[in-house]
Amino acid sequence: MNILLVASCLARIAATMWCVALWRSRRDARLGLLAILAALLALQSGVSLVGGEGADEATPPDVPAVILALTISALLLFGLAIVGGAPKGPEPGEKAWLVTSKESKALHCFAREVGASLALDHVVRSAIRHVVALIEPDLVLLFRRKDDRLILMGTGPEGSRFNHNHTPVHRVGECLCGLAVRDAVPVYSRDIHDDDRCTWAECKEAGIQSFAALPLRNEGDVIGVLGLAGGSERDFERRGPFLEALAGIIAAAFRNALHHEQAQAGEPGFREPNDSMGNGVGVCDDIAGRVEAEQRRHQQETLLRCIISNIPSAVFWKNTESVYEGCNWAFARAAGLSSPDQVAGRTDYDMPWTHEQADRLRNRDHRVVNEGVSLIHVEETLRHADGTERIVLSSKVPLHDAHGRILGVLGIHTDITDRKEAEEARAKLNEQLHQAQKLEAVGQLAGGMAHDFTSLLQVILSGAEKLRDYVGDEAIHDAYAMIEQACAEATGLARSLLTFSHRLPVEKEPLQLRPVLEESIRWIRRLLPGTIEVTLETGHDSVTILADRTQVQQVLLNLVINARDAMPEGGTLRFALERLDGPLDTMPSPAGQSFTPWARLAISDTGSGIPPEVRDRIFEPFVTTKPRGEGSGLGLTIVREIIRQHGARIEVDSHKGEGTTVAIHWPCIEPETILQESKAPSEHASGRGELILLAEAHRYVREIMASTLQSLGYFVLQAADAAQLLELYRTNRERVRLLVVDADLPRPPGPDWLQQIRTADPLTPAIITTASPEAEHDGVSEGHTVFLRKPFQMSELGRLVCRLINPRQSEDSET
Amino acid sequence: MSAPISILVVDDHAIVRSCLAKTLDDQPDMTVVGTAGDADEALAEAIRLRPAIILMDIDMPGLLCFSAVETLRVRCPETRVMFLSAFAHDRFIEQALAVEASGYITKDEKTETVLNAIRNAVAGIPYFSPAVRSRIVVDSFGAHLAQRRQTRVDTLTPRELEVLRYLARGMSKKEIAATMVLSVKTVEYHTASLMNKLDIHDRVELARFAIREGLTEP
Repeated sequence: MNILLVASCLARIAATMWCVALWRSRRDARLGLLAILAALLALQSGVSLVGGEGADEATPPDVPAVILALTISALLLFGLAIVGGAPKGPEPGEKAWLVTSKESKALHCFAREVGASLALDHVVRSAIRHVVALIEPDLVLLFRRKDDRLILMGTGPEGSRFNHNHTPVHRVGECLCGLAVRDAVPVYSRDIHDDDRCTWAECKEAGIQSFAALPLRNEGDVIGVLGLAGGSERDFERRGPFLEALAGIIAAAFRNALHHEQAQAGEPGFREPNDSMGNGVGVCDDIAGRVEAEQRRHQQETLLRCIISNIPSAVFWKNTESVYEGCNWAFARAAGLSSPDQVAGRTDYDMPWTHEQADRLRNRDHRVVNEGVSLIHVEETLRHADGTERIVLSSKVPLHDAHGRILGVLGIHTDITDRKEAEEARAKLNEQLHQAQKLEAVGQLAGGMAHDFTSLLQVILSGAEKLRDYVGDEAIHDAYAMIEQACAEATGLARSLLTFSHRLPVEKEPLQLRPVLEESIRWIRRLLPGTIEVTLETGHDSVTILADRTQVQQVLLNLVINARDAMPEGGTLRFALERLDGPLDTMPSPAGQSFTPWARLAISDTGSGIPPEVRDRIFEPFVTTKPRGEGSGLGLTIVREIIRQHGARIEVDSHKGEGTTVAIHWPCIEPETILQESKAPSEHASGRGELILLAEAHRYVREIMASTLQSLGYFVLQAADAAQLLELYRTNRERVRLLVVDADLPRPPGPDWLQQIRTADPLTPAIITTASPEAEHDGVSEGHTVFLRKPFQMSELGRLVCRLINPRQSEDSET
Repeated sequence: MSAPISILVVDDHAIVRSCLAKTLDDQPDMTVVGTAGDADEALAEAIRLRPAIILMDIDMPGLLCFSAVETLRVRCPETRVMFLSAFAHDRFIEQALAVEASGYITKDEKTETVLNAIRNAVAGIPYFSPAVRSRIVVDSFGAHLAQRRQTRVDTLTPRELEVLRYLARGMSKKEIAATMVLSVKTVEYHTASLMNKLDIHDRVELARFAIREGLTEP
C-alpha cells in the first residue's frame, strides 16, 4: 500500500470534517460546498488506494460498483462529519440564543402562572414553586419589605435540607438580602463563607455555600427580595439577566397582590396600578388591566358578600333540585352549621327542621322552580339547631341565567318570633288592662254598693233599736242583740269592700292575731265546700301584731280562695299560728325596727300544688293557673302588697300533687307598744263628770276641745277670754278639777289673771296650751301646771287631762 | 220647756232620710222641720225654714254640700251644720273643719250618739266620731286635719277642686256652670287649668283620679 496515498486520503477526510464542522457552526452554504468538495477529494484518494491494489493482481475492478461504494462512503463520511464531527466547545452565540429562547418561554409561563390570582399567598407560593422548577436552587427565600424590615413570606422547595429555622425578619442593609434591597441591585456570592457581606451565621451553619439576592423592584422602590441558595458553589450570576427578569415578574405580581390586599383592607393610600410597572416585563401590562377588572369584580363581590353577610335575615340559594348551594352566616347559624360553606350539597332533610317542615319548604321550592313564581312573606315555623321553634317570614324567588332559564331558588328567612311574641304580649297586656279596668269598675261598684249597704244597715239597726226600746220583752232584746251582731259583721264586710276599692284608709292597730284568725275562719267556712275540712292549730301565746284588720282578713281570704281552688275534690285546709321568739336567720327584722319575735301563720292545703313553671312568678300581677275567667291573677299580688306594707314576709312551699303551704311571718309587737298604741281618746273615757274649765279664744277650737273632753266623760265650761274665765272660775271654784287655758288668751287690764288663779289655788292642775316656742317642755309639770304646745292632737289632750285628773288610773293603765 | 230643736235632714237616700227624720222627730226635744235630697234643695229649705241644726250627708248629687254650707254660713249664721257620712275621708274631714261644722258623725255611730251629738251641737259643743276626732289637730290658727299626705290635688285652687268634683260626677261644663253660677267660659278655664296641673287630659281618667283621691264617690 502506498503510504503517501493513505496519508493524502486521511488528510482529505480531515479537511472534509473540518469543512462540515465549520458549516455547522456558521451555516454558510459555501462552507457546505467546500465540505462536499473535500469529501469528494477524500473519496478520490480512497478510490486510488483501492484501484492500485487491484491492478497489482491483474484483476480489473467493477467500476460502477466501486463508484457506488465510494459515493456511499463519501456520504457516510459527510454524515459522520455532520453528526459526530462537531467541535467540542459550543459557540457562545448559539448557546445564548438557545438559552434566551428557552428562558423567554419559561418567563412567559411564569408570568402567566404567578399573575393568575391577586391573592398574596398564591403569588408567593406560585413564585417559589416556579423558581424552584426553573432554577433548581437548593433553597428559595421570598421576603416582603416593610419599612426597614424584611419579612419572610415563604420558602421552598419543601423538605429542603437547607431550610433551616430562618429568622422571619431581616433588616434592610444587613446580610446579602438586606444589601440587595438597600442598594436595589442583585447581590451574588459563590461562597458565602468567604464573603464578608454575609453576616447571618444561620445560613452558613445550614450548609449554604452560594447565594443570590435579587431585589424585587417596583417603580423605583424595592418591595421585597428573592433569595436563591445553593449547597454547592453555584454561579448564579451566570444567569443574572434571567434571574433579574424573573425577579421583575415576581415584583409586579407581588405589587399587584399587595395593592389588592390594601384594597381589601381598605387601607388609605391604596394606589390604582398604572402602566409604569418597571422592570421592562411586557406581561405586566396585561396583569394591570386584569387587576383592574379583577378589582372591580372583587369590589362588587365584596359589596354583595357584605350585604348577604350583614342582612339580618337568613339568605340561601338552592339549585332546581332543592339542594343548597350556599347561604350566609345567619342561615348557617340557624341550621347549626359551623360555616356557610357546609351547606353546599345538603337538602332540607339534612337540616334541623322537622320532616314536615322540610316537606313544606321543598314544595314551595318546586312551585318557584316549576311555575317561576315568587313566594313572598310566607309565614313558616322552623325548628332551629338550638331546638327552638322560630317563626320566620319566608320569601323565595327564582334565580335566572342570562337566557332566562331558572337556575334555582333564592330565599330569605326573616325571623319574626320576637315580633310575634311582642305582639302577643301586647295583646295579652291589653286584655289584662281591660281586665284590670273591669276589676276597677267592679271594685268601684262594690264600693258604691257597700256605701249604700252601710246606710241600709244603719236603718236596720236604728229600727231594731227602737223596737227594743218599745217592747221591753227579753226575747226582743236577744233578737236585737243578734241583729246588732249581724249588722256589725255586715258593716265589717262592707268596710272590707271599701278598703279593697281604696276608699277607706289603711289603719294599723294592735291586733290579737288569734281572735282575728278564729273570727275570719268562721266566715271563711262559708266559702268552702263541705268536702274541705278546716283545722286550726294555735298555741297559747299571745300573738299581737300591728296591722290593719281588714287587710289581714283580705290576705286570709285570698289565700283561702287559692287553696279552695287547688282542692276541687276536697281536702284539708290547715291554719297554724305560732309565735317564734328567736330572731329569724333568714328573715332579718325590717330596718329600723326592733321586732324580735315573729308570728308565723301557715296556711296549708292538700291540693294540686303550684306548677313549677309558675312558682317563681305567682306574685306577679295577672299570673294565674286558673282557667280563663276564673282568676284575675291579682290575688297574690294584693297579698304581697299587704304583706309588704306590714313589714311581714311571705314564703311559699309547694309540691306538685302534695299541696301548698303559705307561711307569713308577721313582726310581733311588745306589750308596751300595745299599751301606747291603745291610748286612743276613746279609751280614755275615764271622766266621771269632773268639771274642766276651758279657756280658748278661738271659738271653733274651743268647741272641738270641749267636745273631746266631754266625750271622755268630763263636764266642760267654756270661756272665750280671761274675764270670762275668771268669772267662771270664781263661781265654780270648788268644783273645778282642771283648768285648760290658752296662754295667748286676750289679757284683761290689771294683774296677771293666770297668776291670780294659780296663787289662789296652786293645787288645782292646769294645762296651758301655747303656740309659743318658749314653752320648753310639753307635758312637763311646773308644780301642777303642764304645758301643751300647739299644734296638738285631741288624743294628746285626752291623755294629759286623764293623767292630771286621775293620776292613779293613768298609772294603772300605763303599767 | 224650751222649744224643740228644729232639724233639717238632708240625704240623697230617701229611705235613710225618712228613717232618720222619723227617729229624730220621735224625740221630745227635737222636731224635723224638713228634709232635702241634695245640697241645692237643702240650701233653699234652710233659708226658708231657718232650722237650728242641719244634719247633712256629705256625698250627694248636685251642688257640693261644702259649697252649700259656705253659703249657709253667710245666709243663716245661726244654723249649725252636722255632717253624717259613711266615710271618714281626709278630704271630707278637712273641708268639714274648714266650714266649722258642728259635727262629723260616721254612720256606724249609734242612734243615741247621734241624738246626743245634736243636743250638744245646739249647746255649742260639736261632735266628731272617734275616727274623725283622732285626726284633728289644734294650732294657733284653728282646727285642722293632722298629717294629711300631700298630693297633686293640693296644687288646685278651691274653685278648681270644686270643678273637678263636678267633672268627676260626669256633669257637663254647662251643668257645672249652672250649678256654680258661673259662665261656661269660666268653667272651661278652670277645667283647662286643673287638667294642666294634674296632667290628666281625659275626663274618664279625671273621674278615676277624683275617686282615688276621695274627692267624690263612684
